[in-house]
Amino acid sequence: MTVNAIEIRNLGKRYRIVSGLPVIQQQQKSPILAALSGRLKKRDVWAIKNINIDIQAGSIVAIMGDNGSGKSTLLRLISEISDPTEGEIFLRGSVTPMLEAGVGFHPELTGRENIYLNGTLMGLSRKALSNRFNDIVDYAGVREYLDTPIKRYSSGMWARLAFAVATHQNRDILIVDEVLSVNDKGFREKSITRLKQLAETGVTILIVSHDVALLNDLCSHAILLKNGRLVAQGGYQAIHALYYDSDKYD
Amino acid sequence: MTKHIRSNNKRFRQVGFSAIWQSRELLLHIMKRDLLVTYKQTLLGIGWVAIQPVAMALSIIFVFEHIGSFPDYGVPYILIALTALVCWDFFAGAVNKATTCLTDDRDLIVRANFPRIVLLINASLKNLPGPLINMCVLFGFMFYFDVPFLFSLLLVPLVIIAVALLNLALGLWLGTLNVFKRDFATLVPYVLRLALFVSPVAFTLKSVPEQWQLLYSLNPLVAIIESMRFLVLGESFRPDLLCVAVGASSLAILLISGIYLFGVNERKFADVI
Repeated sequence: MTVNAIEIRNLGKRYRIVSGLPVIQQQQKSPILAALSGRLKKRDVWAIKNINIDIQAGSIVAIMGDNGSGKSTLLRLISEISDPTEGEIFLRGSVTPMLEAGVGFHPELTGRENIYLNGTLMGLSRKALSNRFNDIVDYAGVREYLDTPIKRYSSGMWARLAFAVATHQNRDILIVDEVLSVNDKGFREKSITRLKQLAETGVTILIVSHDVALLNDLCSHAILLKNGRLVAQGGYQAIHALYYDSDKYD
Repeated sequence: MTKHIRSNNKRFRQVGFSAIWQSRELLLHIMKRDLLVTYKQTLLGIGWVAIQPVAMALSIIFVFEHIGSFPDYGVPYILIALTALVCWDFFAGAVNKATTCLTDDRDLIVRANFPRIVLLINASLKNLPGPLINMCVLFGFMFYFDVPFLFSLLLVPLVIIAVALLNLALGLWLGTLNVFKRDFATLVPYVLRLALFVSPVAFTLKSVPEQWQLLYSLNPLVAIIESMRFLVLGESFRPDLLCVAVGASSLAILLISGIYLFGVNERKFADVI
């Protein structure tokens, strides 16, 4: 019997945005006056709405959709960075508390300092980090540059280090947002293997990427979003066909 | 282990003692980051931490020795000023930083889920080496003027803790407000400059007309600075207990209301920052 790691019910997120010039400003008055008189034109935008998703534990799920379709908003709600406006999410297990790998990396700090800062941000204790430190360093292949500020790193090294810290933590649900796109071929193979291994041990992985080849290699399932609505969910191949077969999608 | 995220959940999260205690390592690493980053690629490096308070003290000395004329308090005026400066420097630096600490780390707030109160605790302890070095300067002058070192000096850390709590209280207020309206980042430095003159840094509570003293003590810095002078300079500076009580209550109210304001709004930070 398969267990759902994530169940999403009727989820929606609304943002209120200022849209266009306020009426009064068109009459050449100051924006302060406009704001005071409450005439700034505001509009509600549902970044996502009516989302119902089930995700099996141990699956690698591609979250697909055009820019602005609500992929990041969905991940932000799952990782509890922001609160839903309506609906609910059930999570079985712990979620990476981070939307992207390498959040909080500071260019002036050394590789070593950044590993500790990023790791503690993810909620790892000093002890857990020390245990994993060598694995992370070897995996990223930055041992020679550990005490170099990462502003001197190549973008590949930076991304490898970020990926290494992100995937060396005991989380049941891992969120990977556009992190693998800059890497070289060798590291790409290595990271695909790493993610597949994690999935085999029961870790659920959610991936957002515009790198189709990567998704092809990696994902077992997919979710397709369009304009904040769920278009389809299911096996990766079927969803992929739906998305790229533009006749059906549009 | 199932976690249930639902809309309309208004409960405070990650502001309790256990959440803060669990994030102590994160706090240490963020403190370390700020300390290292400020002084990277500088010639003097961490030496600046010591130079800044000493330079400030020297400029105060110059002003007070050569320009000002002040009433006789029974001890050299410089000691009156320096005791207050220990608190004031710590306070002003931290409140400035706390106001913008959330917006400065916008990147973390929109992309990671961690107890954000850690950023405010970090800001309210900013410049902690400052008061320590100011204390050393003060001790130097006490030695020079032959002022006795009292046992009550051992209680000075309590005053420093009170300042840190005040920093946190104002930080919770101003930091949260600044997430919503950035006016506070511009406003706070001016208000602090004004606050320097309405806090008993360059004078003592005795210079305030008697009928106003209680009202004046609503400013928690009054009790803090007066207690500091009492602990360092002795009996002749014993503060009025009522004034201290008023200051302590006002600090408690600021802190509790600050935690409330922060707790209520913290869930919205990622959406509006």
